[in-house]
Amino acid sequence: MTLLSVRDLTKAFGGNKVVSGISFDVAIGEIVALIGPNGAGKSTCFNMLNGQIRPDRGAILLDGTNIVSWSPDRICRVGVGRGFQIAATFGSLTVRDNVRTALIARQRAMWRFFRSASGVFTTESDALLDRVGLSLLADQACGTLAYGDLKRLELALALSNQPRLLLMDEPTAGMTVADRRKVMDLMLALTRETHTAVLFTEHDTDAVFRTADRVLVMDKGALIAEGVPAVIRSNAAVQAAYLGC
Amino acid sequence: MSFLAIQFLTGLSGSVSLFLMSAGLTIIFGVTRVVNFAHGSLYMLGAYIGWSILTRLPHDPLWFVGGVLAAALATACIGAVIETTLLRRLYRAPELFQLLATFGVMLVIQDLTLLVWGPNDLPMPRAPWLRGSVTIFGDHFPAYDLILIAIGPTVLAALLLLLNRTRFGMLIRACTENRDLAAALGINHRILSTSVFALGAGLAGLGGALILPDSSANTQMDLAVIVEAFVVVVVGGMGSISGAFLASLMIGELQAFGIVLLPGATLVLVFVIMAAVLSVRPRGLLGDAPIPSAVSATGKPMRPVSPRIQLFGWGLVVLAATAPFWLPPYWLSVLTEILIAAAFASSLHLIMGPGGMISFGHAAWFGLGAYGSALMVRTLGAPMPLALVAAPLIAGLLAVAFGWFVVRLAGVYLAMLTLAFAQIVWATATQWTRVTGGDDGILGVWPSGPVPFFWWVLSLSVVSIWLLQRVARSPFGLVLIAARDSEARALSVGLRADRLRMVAFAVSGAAAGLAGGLFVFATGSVFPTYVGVGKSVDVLLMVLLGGINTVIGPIVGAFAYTGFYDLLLQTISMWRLALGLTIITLVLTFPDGLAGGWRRSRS
Amino acid sequence: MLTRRTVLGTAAALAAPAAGRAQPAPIRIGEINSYSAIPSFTLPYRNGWQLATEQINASGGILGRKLEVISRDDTGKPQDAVRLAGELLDEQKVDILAGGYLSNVGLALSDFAQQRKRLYIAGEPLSDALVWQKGNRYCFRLRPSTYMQAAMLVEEAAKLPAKRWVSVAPNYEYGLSTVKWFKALLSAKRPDVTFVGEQWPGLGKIDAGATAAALAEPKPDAILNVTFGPDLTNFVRQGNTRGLFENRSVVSVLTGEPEYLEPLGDETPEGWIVTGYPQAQVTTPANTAFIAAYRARFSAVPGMGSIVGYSLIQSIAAGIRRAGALDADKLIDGFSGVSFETPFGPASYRAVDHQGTLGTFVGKTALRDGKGIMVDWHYSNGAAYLPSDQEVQALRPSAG
Repeated sequence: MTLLSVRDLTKAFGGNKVVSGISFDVAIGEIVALIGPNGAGKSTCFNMLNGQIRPDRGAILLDGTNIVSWSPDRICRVGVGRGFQIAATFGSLTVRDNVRTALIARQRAMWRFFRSASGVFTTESDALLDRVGLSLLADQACGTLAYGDLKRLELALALSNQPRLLLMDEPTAGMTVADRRKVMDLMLALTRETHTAVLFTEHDTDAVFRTADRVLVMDKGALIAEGVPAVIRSNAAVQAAYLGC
Repeated sequence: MSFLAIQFLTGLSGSVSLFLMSAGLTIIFGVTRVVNFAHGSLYMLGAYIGWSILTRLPHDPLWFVGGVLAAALATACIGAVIETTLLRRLYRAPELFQLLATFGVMLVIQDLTLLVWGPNDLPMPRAPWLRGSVTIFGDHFPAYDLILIAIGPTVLAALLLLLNRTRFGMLIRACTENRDLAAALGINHRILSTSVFALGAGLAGLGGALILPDSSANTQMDLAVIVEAFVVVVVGGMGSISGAFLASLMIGELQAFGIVLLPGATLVLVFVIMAAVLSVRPRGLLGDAPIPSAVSATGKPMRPVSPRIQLFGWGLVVLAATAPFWLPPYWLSVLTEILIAAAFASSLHLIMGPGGMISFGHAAWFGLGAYGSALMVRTLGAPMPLALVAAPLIAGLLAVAFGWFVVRLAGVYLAMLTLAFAQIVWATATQWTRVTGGDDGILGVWPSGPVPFFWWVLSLSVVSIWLLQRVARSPFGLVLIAARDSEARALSVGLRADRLRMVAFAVSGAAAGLAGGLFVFATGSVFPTYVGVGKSVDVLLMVLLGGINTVIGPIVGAFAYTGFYDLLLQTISMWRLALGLTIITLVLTFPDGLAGGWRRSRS
Repeated sequence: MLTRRTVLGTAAALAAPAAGRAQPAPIRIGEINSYSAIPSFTLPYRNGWQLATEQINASGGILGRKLEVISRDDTGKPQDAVRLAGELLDEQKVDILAGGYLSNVGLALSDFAQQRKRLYIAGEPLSDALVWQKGNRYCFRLRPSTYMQAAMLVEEAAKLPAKRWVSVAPNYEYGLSTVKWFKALLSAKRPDVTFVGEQWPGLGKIDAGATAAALAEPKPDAILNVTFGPDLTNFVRQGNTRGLFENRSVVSVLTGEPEYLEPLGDETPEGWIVTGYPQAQVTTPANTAFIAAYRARFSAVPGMGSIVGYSLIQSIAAGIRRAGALDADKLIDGFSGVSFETPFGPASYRAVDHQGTLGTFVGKTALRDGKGIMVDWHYSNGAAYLPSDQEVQALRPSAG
């Protein structure tokens, strides 16, 4: 069953084609890695998927609905979760309030002006924090967290709307080797559990080949290869474009 | 044809002092992130020092050049002193807190100038060569204005050379673009900040000294230029010197021709231009530097109000309710005013604290509420309670409409757009005489008696503040803070940051409108000064002084600022000196604001 | 300078401490003005009322009591003025309010005075509304209003051959209403006159070069100038260099007042028709004595502000003497129609609208020894430049 299908997605900046007509699919519950050398167009592609950049051409179908040029918040509301390269959290809030914020947004409860925020979604927040292993840090200000914990928190935020599709842009960037593995495994465990599809970009090829069901390879704005990790690993074009350097 | 050419040249020459002012302001902002309110004072000092030097020198061109440069140098030294003794200690404080300090400096300089140079305007006698004119298309055009026209591009070229061809300039650019990176590269920020502040001050001083052949040194010139200089900086794009040049040319020309086409529009012209530019280009003409978030996003968490303080607060409210029985009438009126100020400041705090939006024009809503309720009473004969219902409605509705524009901007750009709107409201109040009474205002809007009115003020202010605090703690308040901390993350969990801000704007505007409505009955009248820049600055100072990270900050700030100001005004004539020094002392002692400082000293 | 809480006839009070204790409490005047906002006018003004207070106390005070003035700075904002007026009434227990520079401060104080049923004597505020449209029985005003100043100048302007006029005035109430009256009164006397252009620079923000060029553009025969202070200096310098005033008549309000004439220095344009104060040239005994006393006290030459401050206190003293008591109704009766002495000569507060008949000098500007002075001047008595009592009563709807 196809969840996401991208067709002929194209974007140029100032006459420079950064993404030129790529098409691919992601199935329900499938874990797909998007790799490629720096400047291949991965981030631009991602930012079109999550609504930050408007494509020049092409379609992004989520469950058959074209979500091209929808705003990020609307895309979120149809079941797409998102992680950032540099963890984006709500810096001045506690860990629990970070998650509470996401849950308020999901339940459209933000137009309540006279209730106390500390009384809404507390159990739900703590349950979610428990899943990512942050229960003990719930009352800490998020500005004081170690980076690995911040990434966990981000994962909790991305999962808060029980997404059908999770978009993660370099989920392990900037982390220690030990942390990378833990966070990656956590992401896998959580998404497998809920049968959530994942599309992620990653520089760490070991992580890619270990975790992904399928790998997409981009170079110079185009999709040059696609297949299961074992096939991609031995693909000559991929090696030339990416693994070789 | 000849008229157009003359007017064009006049616009060019008029833009030069604006450019010199704003170039300094924009460099200082770029490197230190200080919104330097005292920049107009430095300009004024340049003029006064220039006057003192030039009137003692022989009257030929070379001595004139030397004297002007000496004045600029002296002003640069004053700038360096201000930076090293005061601002340097505040770079770690929350952003915009330095604005408080520079406001204090401005007050101090106003009174010191009066002490040193006296109250009279000081015109510099013009040497004959400064009076000359050249004939252009058969009309006289001042020769000195041609010199000014040449000075603008010369200074621009010198600054661009400095920025692009020297190590010092490279450091300035590095710091402007990315302060953390610059720090990581081992750039000595202290020396750089001091020299940049001195450079900016020197440019302001140069601008001040250069106007002497056209104008007198006088005590009002600091405030006359500062707002327009900010407009130029913002229209040009903050941190961009070429942008400042372009914007000053644009504003100089539009003013020169604007007064021909619309002679009555002098009060609003620049603000309408700014609003237009910002709605098309939210970062100004040439601004591409990242917009620094106005209220620090790495921000400290909002501090909850402990139950003990809440209890204490309610105790004070009960005590205040009995005030009419033991407080003399004048002090009751001061307390009335302080309560209104606290409600006003709390309304600003909602958008500044949780909302992360600075407003330089919050008096707009206060004034709209004030005019709204005064007009209800005077033209419709409404009773006071009805007028007090109308005040927040009118202000809130207009805040929604305006919020729609403003939430698309960020940081100081947003702040300046609020200023533009407030100035447009102010000009409307001033010029729509038939309805608003113009400068003469609307009079005779008195409540039935001071004591029942006090209870009205007490209950409405307390309810308003209590509701605002509840809103700040509500789910809405939480997601508002979240959207302030990270807009991208907020969007990706499904929150529309712009809508949240718009609603916050409306709530805040309505609360400010209520405060304005109350104020009308406290003073019995409404005037355009209720919408003036001064009123907006006052409330901004209260919020900053109290501390932005706690909801009791604005209340503490309102009590401290209003109470102290009222007290000074009735006790000493050099109140500006005293107020300025007090603000500077407080800022240095409590860099988290009064409420924050108190809390810190306990923990 | 640092404190002005108790500026009164200090010398007299300190010289006789024993007697002071036995004396009845002084009559207190609560005075409010824009000291920090407009120092160039208000500081000479303060000297003026100090001198008057000292003189009155030295000659035995009023009704056997000393006069004491308690002064406050309104910072140029009506809301501060109203609050301070409350302080003066409730805390300082003053008997009469006085002062004001800006029109809106004057109007706010007048309205407050009516609300509290106490007297307010306005010195400098020039707005017509103060005694007419928004006049009330508690408010009196000393200086000739914008209407009167305009009327005095129109008398001279009508004699000029000029037909095409332009005007330049600061963009606020004072400027607007002066231009309005000047146009109306001049057009009534000279139907052949047209106004072909107007400029409204923001107060303190004149773009003088552009304004001068824009005024010259319609090729007028004459210019009405209402700018003053720093704006005037800028305007005159640009106008001189650009030849704006060559072969044109200029009529200019307040420009002959020393506060505004002095800064023009050797660039004072000659032949402008102005209102003002020719200082020592006026050799009436009253003025000569005033200047001598002022010089002895402050080592300075008095300005227009000094005249206003001095005359204000003199008029208040006269009003109280005539009333013989300090309650508001008696005071109103006492002030209505009271005559008082000023350096300009005798004047009075009209019963019909509480407007003072103090006049001003109308003359021409000239240059002497590098300084601007007034020449060919004459004193215009304010009483001669007011509409008929009937018209005034129609203009005064609220006061009855």
